[in-house]
Amino acid sequence: MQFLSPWMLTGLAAIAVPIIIHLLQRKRVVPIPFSTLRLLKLVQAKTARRSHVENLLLLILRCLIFAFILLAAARPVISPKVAGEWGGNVPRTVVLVIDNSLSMNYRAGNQTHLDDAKKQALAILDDLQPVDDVAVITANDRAQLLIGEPTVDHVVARQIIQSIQPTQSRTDFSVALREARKIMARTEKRARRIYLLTDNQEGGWQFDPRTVFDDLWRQTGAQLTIVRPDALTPVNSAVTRVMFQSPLVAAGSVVRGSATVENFSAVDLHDLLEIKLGDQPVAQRAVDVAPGSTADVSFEFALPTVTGDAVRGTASIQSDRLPEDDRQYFWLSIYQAPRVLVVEGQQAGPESLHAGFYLKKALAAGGDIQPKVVSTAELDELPLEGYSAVILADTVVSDRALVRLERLLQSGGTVAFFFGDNTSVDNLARIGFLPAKPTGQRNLPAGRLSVRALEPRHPLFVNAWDASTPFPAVPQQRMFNVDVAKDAKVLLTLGDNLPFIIAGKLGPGKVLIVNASADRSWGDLPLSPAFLPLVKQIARWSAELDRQFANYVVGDPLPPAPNLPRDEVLTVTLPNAATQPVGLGEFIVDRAEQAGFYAVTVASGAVVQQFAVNVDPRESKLSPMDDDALTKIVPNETVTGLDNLRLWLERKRELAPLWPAFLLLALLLFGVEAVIANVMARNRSQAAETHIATGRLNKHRLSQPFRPAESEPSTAKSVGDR
Amino acid sequence: MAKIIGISDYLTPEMMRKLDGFMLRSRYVVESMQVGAHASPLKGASVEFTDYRQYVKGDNLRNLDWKVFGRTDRYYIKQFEEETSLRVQVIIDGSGSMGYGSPGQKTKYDYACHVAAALGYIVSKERDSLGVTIYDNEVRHHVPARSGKRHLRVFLEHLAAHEPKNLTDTGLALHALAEMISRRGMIVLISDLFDDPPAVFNALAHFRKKMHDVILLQVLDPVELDLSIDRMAEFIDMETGERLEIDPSSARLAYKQELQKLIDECREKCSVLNVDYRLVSTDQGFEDFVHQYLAERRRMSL
Repeated sequence: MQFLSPWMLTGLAAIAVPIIIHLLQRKRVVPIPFSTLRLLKLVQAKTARRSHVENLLLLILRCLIFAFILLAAARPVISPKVAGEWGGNVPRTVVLVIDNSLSMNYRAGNQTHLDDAKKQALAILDDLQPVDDVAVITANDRAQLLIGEPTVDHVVARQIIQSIQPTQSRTDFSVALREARKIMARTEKRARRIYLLTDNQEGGWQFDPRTVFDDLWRQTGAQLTIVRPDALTPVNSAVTRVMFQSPLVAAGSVVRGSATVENFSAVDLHDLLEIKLGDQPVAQRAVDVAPGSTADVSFEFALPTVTGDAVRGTASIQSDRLPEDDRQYFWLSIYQAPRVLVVEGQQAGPESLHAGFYLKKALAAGGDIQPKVVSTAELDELPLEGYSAVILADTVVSDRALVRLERLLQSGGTVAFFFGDNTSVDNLARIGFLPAKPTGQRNLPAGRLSVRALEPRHPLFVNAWDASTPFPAVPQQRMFNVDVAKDAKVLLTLGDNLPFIIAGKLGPGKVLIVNASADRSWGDLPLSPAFLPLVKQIARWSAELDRQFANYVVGDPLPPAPNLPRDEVLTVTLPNAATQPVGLGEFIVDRAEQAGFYAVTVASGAVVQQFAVNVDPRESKLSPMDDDALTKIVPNETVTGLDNLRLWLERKRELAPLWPAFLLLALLLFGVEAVIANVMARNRSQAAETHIATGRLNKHRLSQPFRPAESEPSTAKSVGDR
Repeated sequence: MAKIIGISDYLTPEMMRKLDGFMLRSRYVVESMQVGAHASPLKGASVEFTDYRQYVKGDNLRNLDWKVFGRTDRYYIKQFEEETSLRVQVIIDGSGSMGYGSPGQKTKYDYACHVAAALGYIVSKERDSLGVTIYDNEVRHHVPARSGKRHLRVFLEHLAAHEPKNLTDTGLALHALAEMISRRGMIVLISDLFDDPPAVFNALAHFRKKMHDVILLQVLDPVELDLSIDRMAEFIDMETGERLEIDPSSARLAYKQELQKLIDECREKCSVLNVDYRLVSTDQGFEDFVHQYLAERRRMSL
């Protein structure tokens, strides 16, 4: 038994007060001359013993009342173990929130922080009493209730704790603490404590505290103890991003890109960035990053000859204590010759006068694209699946063709419009997915008109034009006045800011308007140096998939591509080589749990979609939350290290308060004392009310008890006076 | 020069005036040499006609009823009840226990003297004879009954001269006294009766056997009645000097029960012996008590 206010025990000396009073009263016996002791001797034998016992009992009771009140004031406490031995205990509910986020994979010595946290959790479990119940939650960016309802089965809890596996998810304590709060609100046990076993990463506390530490939290009265594996400052660096100038590369071409390396520690980082394609190193760059700084490391390499339409790669530095974030996964699309369909609206006269003549020539230049040219009528019957782009040259679009074009766009295809004399404003007005609505033709000034790029970084212009090689001036004579839709982008303007090239989207599909004719009816664009690269870029752009640039991190859902075959059985292969089927219309994976490559394949084994998923870069910053800042968020106690935890558990064990029991005991004794004193008083009162009848009773005699003088016998004085 | 004790030392004029209307009368016939207001066993000259009887030789012709002789020619003697004076012997317990008196109260002996003085005044006023005996373990003062105002003073002087002390032996003293008083009269015993009860009542029976009219006044202090002491006390016996430590508050009930038993025993014995018993507390004014007692005896046509 311990006393939280031991100085109050000095007050136990006050017990001497009733004893001294009792002894003084015994000493202050007044000698009283009395007529005869004949009757007193008779009654003494009967009453003296009882009176002595009663007075002694009262004395003992009063001393005990004093003692218990003072003991209660000293706030005695006992350990639960002793309480259990005495037949009582203070049942507790303990919620163990174990952080198994990516950062807990930090390796210190031979063990990870998660291993340390599990050992600490077991130490806490060992400290519990059989009546204490325990719940176990794992915390990363979500909470997993391993034991959602507190149980007294500590063996099961131990097994569950030992089976906790690390994850690559980021840290967000809000979810797990909310669950712990709910558990505490349900429990009926009086002592409640939440242990958060974590590296206490600062990023885990980036949430609105009012959503967790609200009135319900305060009502539960739960105490929060943060248990950290150690008090050391972690050393970590990470590759947090890889960017390529073009995600679409051709075999043998030079690939240029950059990797972002962050140094989260307090020492300089001197490392080597290595780029691998598959298992083959293709580039290495030295990395020097100052403490707490970020560096973008540029690299380039020649893409070797590869099979397939994509190549997987990694950008990594040498592994440190948290290896998961030292590598970034990426994949590159290998350029595949696009399949382009050219629809001519005007096919009368010699071929050179056909609306698609120059388009066909430009696409076929270089020999990598073999365009198919059809008439407007043929478009109504031709299946468009398999084409990456459909270029409409001076075409009137029928309703059937419109449906087919929309389906192409929904599957990720590209539709490009060139106008001409056959183009009807009314016909174009029926096309809902146009990024701009023509309102009427206009004539342009003679000569070449300058072109201004409003979106110079648009993929349409990558590797074609830039600031040093601008889009050349165009000899254009006519064009449409257009109303640009809100979600459309004007990529190029002509002359006096007239929209020239306008890009829009319909789902994953791309829509492009070139506000000019593909033949020479509206000007000499087909003969200008801009025409061939423009047409080539349109074809190449159509071969890119929108999602190639998407940056997925662990915890994200992986969406299916719109052009996935609908009549095939799809399977996704996870980074750990496990496979699982993909449901029609569902996410490829609802939540990516691992960093690495995810590949969607059809029954034949062909890969139809793939993802590179990386760890969340926020998780790489391992600096712990500042204690003062954390205290402002929520009152807590922090313990670091297993040994310190054991000492803390010994010292700060949930001591059972004994003072209420002492106070209750004092009250009970007070009641007993009152009853005994009352009975004695009643006996005395009964004696006082019993009167011996004489000739006449004097009321004065009844009300005034005799108080003999202490100095000399009153009788002698009375006799002497007489 | 010794102080002369008179009735005024015990009774105020007002008290005397109140007592003037009373007289102490015996419940039984008494014997005396003097004519008085009390019934005598002898038939003699008085105004109270008793009976007729046949004339016998030697009868005083003064008692012959001439009217009856004139009508019937027979001699009848008229008989009259003889009235004589009362001989009252007041016996006071003068032992040490009678010296007890709680603060503000007279000692029991003092109270007994005042009661005796009041009774003596009434007896003396009726020209009856008055005597006094004071005893403890033996007779200390004895004044035979006589009448007269001067004798009242002697009576009072003996009361004042005694100081209560010594042990009590009521039986021994009263037996001796019973042999000393030959003529039937009234015995007024004033005592606290803290003695051996059988011995006391044997002595009273002795008096009753001699046809005395016995009045027993038991005088107790209110503290003796209630044991109204609220703190631990060491009681000292005023006769023996013996000491006893006791908590009065816890012993009070049992004490009262024992005392009540003693009083009940006295009452019962007195009833058997036809002794007029009264218990009086010293917190009651003695004049009130005497007044009340005499009034009660008068109501009972005594």
